[in-house]
Amino acid sequence: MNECNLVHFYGVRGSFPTYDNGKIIFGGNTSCCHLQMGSRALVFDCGTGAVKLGQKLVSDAKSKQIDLLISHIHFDHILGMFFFDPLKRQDFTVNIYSEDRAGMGIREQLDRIMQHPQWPVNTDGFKAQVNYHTITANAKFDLGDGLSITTMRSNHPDISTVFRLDYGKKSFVYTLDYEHDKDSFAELVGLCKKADFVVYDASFTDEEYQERKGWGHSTWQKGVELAKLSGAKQVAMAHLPFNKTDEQLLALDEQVRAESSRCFLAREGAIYKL
Amino acid sequence: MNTADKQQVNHINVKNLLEIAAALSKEKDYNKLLTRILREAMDITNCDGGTLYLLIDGALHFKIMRTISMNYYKGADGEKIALPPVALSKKNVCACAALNKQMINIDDVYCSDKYDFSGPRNYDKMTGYQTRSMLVVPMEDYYGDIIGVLQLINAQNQNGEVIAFNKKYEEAITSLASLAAVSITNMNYIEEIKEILHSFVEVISTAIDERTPYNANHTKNMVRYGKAFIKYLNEQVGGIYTFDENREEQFLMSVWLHDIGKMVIPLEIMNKETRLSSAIYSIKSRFELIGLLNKIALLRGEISEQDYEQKTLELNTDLKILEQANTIGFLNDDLLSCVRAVAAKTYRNEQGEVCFYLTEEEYNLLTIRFGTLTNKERQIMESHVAITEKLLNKIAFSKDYNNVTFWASSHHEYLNGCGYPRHLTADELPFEVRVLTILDIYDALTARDRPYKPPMPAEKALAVLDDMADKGQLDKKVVELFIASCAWEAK
Repeated sequence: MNECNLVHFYGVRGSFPTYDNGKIIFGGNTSCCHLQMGSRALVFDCGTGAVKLGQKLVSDAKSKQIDLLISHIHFDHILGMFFFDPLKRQDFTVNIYSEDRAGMGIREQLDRIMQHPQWPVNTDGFKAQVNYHTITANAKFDLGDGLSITTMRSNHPDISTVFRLDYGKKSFVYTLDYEHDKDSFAELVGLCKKADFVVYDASFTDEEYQERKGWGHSTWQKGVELAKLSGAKQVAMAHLPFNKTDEQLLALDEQVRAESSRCFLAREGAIYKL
Repeated sequence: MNTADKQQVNHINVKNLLEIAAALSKEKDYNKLLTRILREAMDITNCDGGTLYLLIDGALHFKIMRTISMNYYKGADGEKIALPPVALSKKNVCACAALNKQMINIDDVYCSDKYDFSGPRNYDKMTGYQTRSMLVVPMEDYYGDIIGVLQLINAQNQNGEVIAFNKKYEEAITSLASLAAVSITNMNYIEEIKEILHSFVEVISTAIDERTPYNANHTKNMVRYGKAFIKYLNEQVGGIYTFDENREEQFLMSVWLHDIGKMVIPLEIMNKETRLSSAIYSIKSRFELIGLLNKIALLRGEISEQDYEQKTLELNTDLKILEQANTIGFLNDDLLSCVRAVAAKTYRNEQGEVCFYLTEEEYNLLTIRFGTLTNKERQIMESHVAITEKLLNKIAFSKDYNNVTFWASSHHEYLNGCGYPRHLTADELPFEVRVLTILDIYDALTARDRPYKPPMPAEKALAVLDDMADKGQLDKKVVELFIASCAWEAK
């Protein structure tokens, strides 16, 4: 049987989880993206969407090893880790990859948040076999089984990493969270060259961006530009603003698709073939 | 002729013809049948070469050609033979046999000037072969029409030397030719019947789709996805997921027919766009009446100008609430309580009786939580699968299609028993039904021609399928295969 590589979004909101009747189609969970590459399960960021993903990974039990790549440690990207079921299971192995920050490895960074009185258990409470890996920007490393990761320094406060995954002929780039600036954008275009799938930080419109420069986020228009310059086959706009309703986002989605047939807004739950 | 030949002839008459008849009648593949006919004819006469022609549009078309000594074999797998068909003229020996409905036995084509043998002579020149003896037999069907010709070349004795075709073969070959004609005709009948059935089924399903402007291509889309999915399963998955020809045909037939029960579902239910349908008009005229009664009260001096304006404003707001509730997809709690408030209001009619703004029935329609159908209407809508079963039970399907009725009428069943109409469970739902259900849901979600809802993008529809599999409604493995197949992208 041929292998099937899938991209599955579990959360596409930025900054803050949100839920109401007007946010059904695009969903309200924060960043979490699951890649099934053959038999390997990779997870990019562990926002609130990771809660549902964790339940599914445990109930499907297809891969008992999970590679968790954390772009940065802002709350909206790790909040789901508190309730990420594979971490609670002895029979699971979770490899966590992230950069050092303030001289601390990723485990220490997590323990700074997961400790009394903010939270009753720390990382000692994980029952899974957890391996913490320190990575660096602008480097390459292997995940085994032909999966390789290339990293790039993202332009975002508190050290954020852009990931590119290569697997055989397939490639995937994850840019959350990222703000475009001249140098890094050219670098990003290079990193996304002919990529099969790019997840782009489209927190703002160009107009909204004017007043939010330096916040560490980009615009959908830049995402379209990236698609055109890099020749990426699909660019999913994510980190959607938590205050926008389905109605507004559907209209935006149409606008984006009209600009480039290869670009669209990501939706929670959506499954794409890589 | 020597004794050995005679013995062989007798031997054939007694034993083989019956066996051949049985074998031919069992053959299901058209090309294999033609190949077998030629092979048996060559075996019986112990000859080196042969050609089977079929009469199509007034000319004899080469179908199978074989020369054992030259190791030449064409057309056996259905490939087209690139020789021009033979026109029905008296010059050509095969055409002549067909026209006269008569067997022709020639000892040596190089010593005969009765027919034009330029064809075999050319062949000889090109290949170095030597065509000598020839037996040409027309194949005649039940109506006495010629359907083709068998041409046998170079009979051989036991030592492999070319001899003339023994006259005593003629009887056996004539019998074989008529057996062959019957088999070919039967197979054509079966194909014709299948074609009639297929076109009939297509007409019916088109009629069903045409009844509703919403998703007029529902069945056609499903057939397209189904074909692409089966192709994927056969080429890339295999094993228990393989669909042989009959399984595929039965499956596609059940796709074509799965919604046949919708033929008898009232259009006002199938196409119901709003909760109230035409009942909105009586509400509107009642509101107009209330407005006029207010105006009369104003003119009679029973209420003040200010009161009147207030009442008119309220009335307009109330009607807007009802109009909104009439069309909204999901009736949320806020809107529901607004509708309740309107329903509790009363007015005095011309006779001075106190009446409610809404009748009980109108209230019940307006407060449907999800979609536009009441429970009763939904039951009628859902009855289409039971009707599909009832209707298909009336069709005398041949054995080849004995699963169609069950498959087609089970497409709303879920593995966890929460489907309808029979609440069947996983062990009662075969793979084909699981696929059918998934195709049906996928197309319903992504349909582009429903004016009351935007089409769901493929990636989101796949997510819904995935979710339903998680809930135990759909088969996880089949959903996974469907996603991997990209069958929905098939043109």
